[in-house]
Amino acid sequence: MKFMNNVYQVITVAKKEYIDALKNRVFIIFVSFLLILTFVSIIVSSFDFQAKVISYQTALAELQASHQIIQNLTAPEFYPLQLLRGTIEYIEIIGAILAIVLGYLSIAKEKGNNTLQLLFTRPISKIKLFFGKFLGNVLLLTSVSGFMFFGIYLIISLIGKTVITNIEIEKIFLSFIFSIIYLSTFFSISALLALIFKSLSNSLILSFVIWIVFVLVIPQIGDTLDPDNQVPGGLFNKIGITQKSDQLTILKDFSSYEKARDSLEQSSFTKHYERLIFALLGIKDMYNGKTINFIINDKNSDILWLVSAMILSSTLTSIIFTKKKLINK
Amino acid sequence: MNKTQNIISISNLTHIYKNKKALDDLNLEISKNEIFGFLGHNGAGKTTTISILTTLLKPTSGNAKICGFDVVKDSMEVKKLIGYLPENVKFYDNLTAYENLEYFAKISGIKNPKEKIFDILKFIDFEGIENKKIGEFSKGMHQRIGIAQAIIHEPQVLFLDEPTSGLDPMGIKKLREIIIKLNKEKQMTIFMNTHLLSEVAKVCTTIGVLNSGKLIYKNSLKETLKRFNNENSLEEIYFNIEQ
Repeated sequence: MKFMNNVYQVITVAKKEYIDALKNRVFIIFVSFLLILTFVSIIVSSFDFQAKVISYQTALAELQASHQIIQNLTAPEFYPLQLLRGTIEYIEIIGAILAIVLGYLSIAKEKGNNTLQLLFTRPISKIKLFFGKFLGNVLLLTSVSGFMFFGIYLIISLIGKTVITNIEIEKIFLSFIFSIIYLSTFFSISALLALIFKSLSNSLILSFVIWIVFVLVIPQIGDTLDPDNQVPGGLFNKIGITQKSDQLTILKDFSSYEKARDSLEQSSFTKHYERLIFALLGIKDMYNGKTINFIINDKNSDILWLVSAMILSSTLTSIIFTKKKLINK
Repeated sequence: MNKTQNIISISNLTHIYKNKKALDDLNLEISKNEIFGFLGHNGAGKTTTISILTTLLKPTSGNAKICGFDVVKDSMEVKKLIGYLPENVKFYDNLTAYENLEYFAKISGIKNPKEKIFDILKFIDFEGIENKKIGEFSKGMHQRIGIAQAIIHEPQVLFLDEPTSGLDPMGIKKLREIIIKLNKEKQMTIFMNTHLLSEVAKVCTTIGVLNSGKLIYKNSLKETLKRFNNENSLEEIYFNIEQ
């Protein structure tokens, strides 16, 4: 009975958070922006993909019509999940802003309006209040991501005129789960800063500083320093060194440089998210055709980073929410 | 002191904030069904007192009890017995009045609050606004919703922090009527922080004056007016007490 009462109170808070955010104009603007960008990017790339498939099928039909031997021809490989590259980048950048806005609205607005103070005088524990807030906002981020990934699946299937296999669906689903973890981390960081700082505008500014550093600056520096990114199409490809083993042999001479560059990238959990999702979706070519188990094993350190960042930020937020005096006196 | 008679008992309450005594050995008892007006200039310690009584702050020393329950040790029990309207509170402006009240009712443990919400709105003469967004409300309407959320779980004690602050004369009159009605019809004890002496004279049954964290005066309004019968207004009485 007591357990059911606790669940009821947590769900009440979660439901209010969900509805309140859905009615918030700032949130709706960011969600619309994210969805429009994602869907436009997927529609355009799906048409491009469709054109490539049609072009291949036409060429094949012409060859067959001219009775040429086609048994020995290698069929080109189409990887529809690579079309999600733009989407993942939008989640990294705009999705993170969306989560920051949610974290700010959930804590800072209530602090500023004195409703948090009022809630603390109600017969509900602070930890239940926190769980309700966290659950409501994570569910909201889940709904937005779910809608986005489902829309992408439909667009690729209908416009790209390709059949998404069960394994590819599983890979999309895993990308969706890891995207929620990534976004929840930004939600928690923003909420944490709103709890710590007396000045709510300062907390928002610092959230965006963190966003700029982890989402834009560090990954950009890492990419810029990557030897293979120095010329369009890749340095090794340009000079004709296409074998991965040859590339690795050359890179051995630059191991210190590469280690420093990699360490810099490792410090950004956005980069861990990107590395993991790019592997899952086969955006990084070497992971195309690999099983989910292989990718998960190969990317376990990125998963660990991502999950640890989420657990650490949400735990810290819950501790500050329950322990800190959040009233003006 | 008898628990049943004194609904609020404060003993030797001290609160130190940033090396300054916000409350200094405060002793105060408030009987059931009183409308207590807590007077004092800005920074006298009124809001600190209300924050401790509503379990928001822990005192540095001393104790306070509501209906016999300690505000620190039995805070969850105390929370069930009190309603609170803080100063300058803004409710969830994207939600309707009904959604706001439903939220506060549910987190206070009321499972099906619909009937209760309509009863409360009728009680405070505020029917027909349930589907309006709070963001469209005037300050006076906001305060009435504030009272509604504070009494939705039928508390024994209602704490109001500067409830008439920023209201127009009509809003003040309406709020005054609601406070008196709550006390008379629902037998609610009301603890009101205010610096508006005119309000105290029209609403309160007992007054207390706080100065630099110390209670320097407490008596019934009737006795106070009798004692200072030479003074023309409560304002003059207040300055006399403060001096």
